[in-house]
Amino acid sequence: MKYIAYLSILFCLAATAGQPERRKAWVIHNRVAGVPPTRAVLMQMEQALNANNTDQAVQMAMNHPNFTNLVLKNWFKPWSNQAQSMSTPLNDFVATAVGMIRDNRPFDEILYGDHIYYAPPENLAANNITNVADFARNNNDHYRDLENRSLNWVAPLQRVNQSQLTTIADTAGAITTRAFGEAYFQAGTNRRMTRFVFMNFLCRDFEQLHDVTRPDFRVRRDVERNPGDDSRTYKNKCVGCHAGQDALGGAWAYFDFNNGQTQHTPGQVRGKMNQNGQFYPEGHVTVDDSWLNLWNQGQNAALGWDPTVPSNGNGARSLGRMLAKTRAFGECMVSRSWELMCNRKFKSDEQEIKRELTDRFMGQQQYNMRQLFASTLNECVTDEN
Amino acid sequence: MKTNLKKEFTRWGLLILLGAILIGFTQCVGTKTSSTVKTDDYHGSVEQVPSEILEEARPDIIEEAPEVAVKDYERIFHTMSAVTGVPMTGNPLTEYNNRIRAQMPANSRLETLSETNILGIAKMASEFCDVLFNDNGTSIGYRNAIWPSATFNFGQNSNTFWAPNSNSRTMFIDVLLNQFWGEGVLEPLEYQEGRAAINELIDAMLTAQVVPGATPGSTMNVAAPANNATTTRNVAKAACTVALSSVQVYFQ
Repeated sequence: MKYIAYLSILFCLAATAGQPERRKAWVIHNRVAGVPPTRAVLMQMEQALNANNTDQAVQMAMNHPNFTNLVLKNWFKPWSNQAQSMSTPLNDFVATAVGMIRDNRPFDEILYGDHIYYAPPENLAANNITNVADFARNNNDHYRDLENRSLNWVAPLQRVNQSQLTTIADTAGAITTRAFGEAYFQAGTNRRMTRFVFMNFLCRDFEQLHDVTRPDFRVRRDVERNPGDDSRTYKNKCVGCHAGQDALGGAWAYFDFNNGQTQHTPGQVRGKMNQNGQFYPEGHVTVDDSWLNLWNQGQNAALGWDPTVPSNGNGARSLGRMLAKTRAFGECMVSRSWELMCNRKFKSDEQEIKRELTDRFMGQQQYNMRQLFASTLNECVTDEN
Repeated sequence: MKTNLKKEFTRWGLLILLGAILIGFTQCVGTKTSSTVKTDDYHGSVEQVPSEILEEARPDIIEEAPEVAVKDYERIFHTMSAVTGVPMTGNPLTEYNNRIRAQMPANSRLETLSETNILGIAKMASEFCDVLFNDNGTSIGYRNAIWPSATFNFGQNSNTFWAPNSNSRTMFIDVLLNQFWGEGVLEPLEYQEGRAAINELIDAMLTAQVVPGATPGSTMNVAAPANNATTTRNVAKAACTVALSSVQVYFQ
């Protein structure tokens, strides 16, 4: 242990010291692929960096299978459960998110695209992967087996229309996956889905969206208007979150999670949407899956809503699209990518870099995450060394 | 006496009432449910909110955040496999590593790295190095890919193989460090310091260790190992473990 401690101290110092391009190549590969490069790849990456071509160096690192099989997998896993834990089996959301990045699909579609990735039997056979359960709507066995049976679990993945595979008509990318259903539609009142969609994809929790100036005509009946016999509490506190989120949450009216699967019952509002109506019988009664954005005015207008996208609609897909087209979505993906690739948050004097990366991600890069990762590393690894 | 008791009742009553009001004030959504209606768990407390989400809207306070991070369990496992050439499946490591998982870093945040994690990493490194320096055909295959048998004869006795400044000793360390830490990745001074540390370890492994204050013949003292090929491989295993469990391997 004495020698381990000695070497640890030595290289703690070394890790922050100024290093040549080869060191940068080593760092980039370790961050992108999770493992060091082979000698040949290290030399190629060093050459690219010497030619001021960081993008090319990053792309070389991304060619390593561990970029998708390991790094992206563990990046997405915490998004799919309430505990935000990485210690969870592979699931349909993680496979779909990783698959979309592998295939260079615009990542805003994660909230509204009719996508799901799974491994059909012929692809499993072609990759010599055996003993993997077939895809099923009511369990996670397929994805669990896929992760356990092969280190290269991304290779056999194939995109199909989620609506065809799951028979859910109103599919909305991640939102309607089984994993998200299990985590956020199960029991409760479906408000959890709204909260975690904002947390995962817009990097904001409801405390930060709290706005008591919004009208409360969509607040549901289970919200007490005079908690503790004092209506001021409702007006000054409860309404700040419920006015906006209950108006949006109508989109989940037909969704539930029962018997191990995400359920969608078009035209039939789930009982939980109107439960506990006795608390305020005059409150809003959910009769369909319509939703309305009341946060596009007031302080939450700062989320950067796209004026070309309707601020009301029906169902999960239209709501997912509206959220994915916000500036906040782009900024959130940039911040998360920065933390993944740069090992830290933006500093206060780096807000201009964040703005530029967001502009590029939502503009010329067209929500391409691989290009975002490359741009991010280009900024921070160059800066660090 | 009766008055005191009445005061006590009044005081406790007021406290309970105050508590009830405070609790009532924090509940926007009623939770009175029938047996068939499930309760709502949407209302999370601040403690349940991941720090990175809350901090998103805060101004950055600590500007000098570390720019290095720790690899999580899976990354370390993959890294050790990649640099040693010992596969992650089909050997005793798979089962062993599943058991040791709880001791390994669960995330990449440097501030969460604990002594337990460092010990876990050292244990995992020792397992990889054990496979690498065993005396069986499979191990010899892995080892030859890094230290070719044409140059390195691990069947030699330890005094010959590890003789100070011998070619075998010098080259073994160079190949070890280049393989595990990356060729030309470290600055020359850092590399030399790492090299010196490994050399010191090898010397310590080959000499008798006397614990200060221990009586002669005490079991706490360690005699010098036998001069044979087993010692040669054991010393190599120790050097391998130290290099493989260094931060150059598990930092990113």
